[in-house]
Amino acid sequence: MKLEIQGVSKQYDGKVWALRNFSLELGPGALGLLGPNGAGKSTLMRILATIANPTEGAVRWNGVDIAERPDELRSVLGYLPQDFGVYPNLNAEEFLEYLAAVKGIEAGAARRRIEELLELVNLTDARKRPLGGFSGGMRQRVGIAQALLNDPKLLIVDEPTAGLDPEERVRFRNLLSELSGERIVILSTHIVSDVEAMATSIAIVSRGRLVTHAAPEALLAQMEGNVWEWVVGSEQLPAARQRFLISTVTRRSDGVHARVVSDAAPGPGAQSVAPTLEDAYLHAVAAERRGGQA
Amino acid sequence: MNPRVLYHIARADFFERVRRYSFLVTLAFTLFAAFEVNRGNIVVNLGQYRGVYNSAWLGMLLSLTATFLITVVGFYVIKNTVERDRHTGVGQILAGTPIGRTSYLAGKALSNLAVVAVIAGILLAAAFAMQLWRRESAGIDAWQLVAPFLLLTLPALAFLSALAVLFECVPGLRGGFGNILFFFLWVAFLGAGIQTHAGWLDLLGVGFIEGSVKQSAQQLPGYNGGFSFQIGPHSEKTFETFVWNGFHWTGGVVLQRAFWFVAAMALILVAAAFFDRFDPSRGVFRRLAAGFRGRAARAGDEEEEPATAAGAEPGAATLAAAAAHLTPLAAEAARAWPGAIVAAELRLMLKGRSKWWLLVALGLLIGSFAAPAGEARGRMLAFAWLWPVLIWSAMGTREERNTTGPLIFSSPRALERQLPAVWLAGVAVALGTGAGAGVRAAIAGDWVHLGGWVAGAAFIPALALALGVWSGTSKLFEGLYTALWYVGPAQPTPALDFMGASPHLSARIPASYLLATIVLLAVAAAGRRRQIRR
Repeated sequence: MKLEIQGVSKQYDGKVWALRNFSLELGPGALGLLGPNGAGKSTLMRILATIANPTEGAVRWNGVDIAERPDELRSVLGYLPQDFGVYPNLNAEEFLEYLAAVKGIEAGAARRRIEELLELVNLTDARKRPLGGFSGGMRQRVGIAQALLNDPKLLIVDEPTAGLDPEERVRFRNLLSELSGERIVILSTHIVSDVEAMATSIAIVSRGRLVTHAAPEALLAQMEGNVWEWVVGSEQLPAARQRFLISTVTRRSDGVHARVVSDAAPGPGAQSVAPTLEDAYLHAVAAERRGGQA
Repeated sequence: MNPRVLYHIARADFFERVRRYSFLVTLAFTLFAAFEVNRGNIVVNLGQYRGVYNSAWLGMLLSLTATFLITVVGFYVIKNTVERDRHTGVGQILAGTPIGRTSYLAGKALSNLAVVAVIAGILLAAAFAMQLWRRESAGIDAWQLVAPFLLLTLPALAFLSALAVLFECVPGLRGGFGNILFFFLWVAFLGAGIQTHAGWLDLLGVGFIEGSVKQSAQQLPGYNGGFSFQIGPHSEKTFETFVWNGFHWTGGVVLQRAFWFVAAMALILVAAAFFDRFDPSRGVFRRLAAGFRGRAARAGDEEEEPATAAGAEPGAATLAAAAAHLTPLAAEAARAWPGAIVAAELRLMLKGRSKWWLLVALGLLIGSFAAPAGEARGRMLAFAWLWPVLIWSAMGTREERNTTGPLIFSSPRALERQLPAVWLAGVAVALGTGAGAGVRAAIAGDWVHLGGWVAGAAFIPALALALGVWSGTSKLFEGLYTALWYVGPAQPTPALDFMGASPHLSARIPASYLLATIVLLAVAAAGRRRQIRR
């Protein structure tokens, strides 16, 4: 099972490049896509989900170009888009039955699967309620269920935990972690803690380019010795923000505790602390921006 | 009502619309209409006479063309301004601002007016260009060119703009039913204005135009008092010409036309009363009901209900954050029966229809079977196939309207399986609702009418699918189908009878509509292919 993204670029309206020469090779496991707004994550997801064509480059699923033979991938694809709708007059069960028919799943198997999925996403009690009356979080759970209808080998989920309450988020994280063992899961999100919990590898994207692709441990190892806790006075904070990349700030009685991402100690008294994935992400994006401006 | 707020609502909405590709299509249609006027396929004539193409005649001809076309087609172009805010979510933002209902809707009506005024402006420019091109009269009189647009077209467009806003605000008229109702209202309104010549009914000003033009033609040799506005090729190869010097605008006429602006403002006030401010619970009927309940509660008739956890989502309380598990799906599960997707599409189409809808459909079905005479049976079939128009009009647009496209288009063989399934489900609706006429034709061995019936069942959903896929909106099919239905099977006009409702039907007609079905399906498939891989 292999997904190869080879030099993929995407241009909109002949003007804006949403992706530039993006290459990546993936096997079973969960890939967390991290990047700022407009970085090209959703564009990449749409290309991988076969509903957008790359302007340049190719995507191969087990060696087959998905632009030429999209159905090779579609039959094993589960896709949860960032923005999707539902048919308001159908209930959750009917909507899933409809999509199961569209995906070509045999009726008996579809019924059993839907039963299991409704339980999984905790919608068994609401299965007969029209979707038009669902909250955002409930609709998102229907979206998660439809993505899993055909037992996908490639699962693409764009901002999957948006609108979910903390308990549902934990449940979904567990589910994705379990699923990623035997399939490829690609997860795009702004929530670093989601990636931390689920991803076996992380790709950081900025301005349409792949900045880095590594295991979370490797990213953290790269950041060792580059994150500092520095206590400064309130009046010094604006100047410190100008000079350094500060990820968090905590005010205490002895001053402002700033978490600084920097190759060298930002000042006297700064203590080296253990890096987090958020530090690694901010560092990578800032470095890419500096490189782009240079 | 703050004029600055009004201006900005109208301005933003106007820019949003004219910067869409669909507006270019509208402009292209307008230019085509102007071209047809120049070719002589849209004319005002008095028997064998027409006016010399001077500023007065061209101003009148193009303004009448603009008023006629914009009031019928333009309604479907502009009736989406509030809906867009609802669909995009901008309405939610606006609802949280201090803007009043009337201000908001007046701004939207102004934007509607601006859009249709641009279309009319193009036809005004065409009148000017035609005078230069035709050179039948040298002197250009700007007032004679512009006045009919200002005094005849603009008031009608203002009324239409407000009416479109009203239709968007009144529950029941907002959707497809309103689109179909408008067409019949428009036909009735047009007819009443022409028949009665009453200024307050004559939105298009046809009575005033007819009176003015006929007066100048009284002395022409052989003139028999006729007046017609024709669209399409006409029998007269060449017309004799006479000089018409334009309208005599009296204060009374100007006041009559100004009436339509006042009527437009009244419509906005009515629309404001119905407008739910993007909260369905605040529609006029619910507000009235709430007011009634409030009074009843104050009178002590209503007990306060205990607080409940109604807002809690089902299952949320019992949710365990335990590890989730999913059973693998067997490989055989992917081999679904091909008819399953047709059944799923059919169920989706029929979902939400009330029992009353089904009862009326059943009544029409029985009527089309039981009607003794062929003519009556044809008429029943025509109505039986007007009834499901809102089911067909959703075909091809559902994925865009409900944003389910990414889910469906990423499914295997979406083009080869789902699109034909939608069409077949539409055909099933046609066969089901029109079964009475089909069975009678088969029993009688009337193969021509049976062919017409089959062609109709195939053609209608194909037309709906092609228009839906390419336009992304159900309005185009609703407007066009209703018009086609009216001029074709409802009259009935055999050449335009796509369902075999006419008593005298040639076998060529069903064959040509079956051919059209194939073309429309190819067009729909091309559109869907484009949607799937953008």
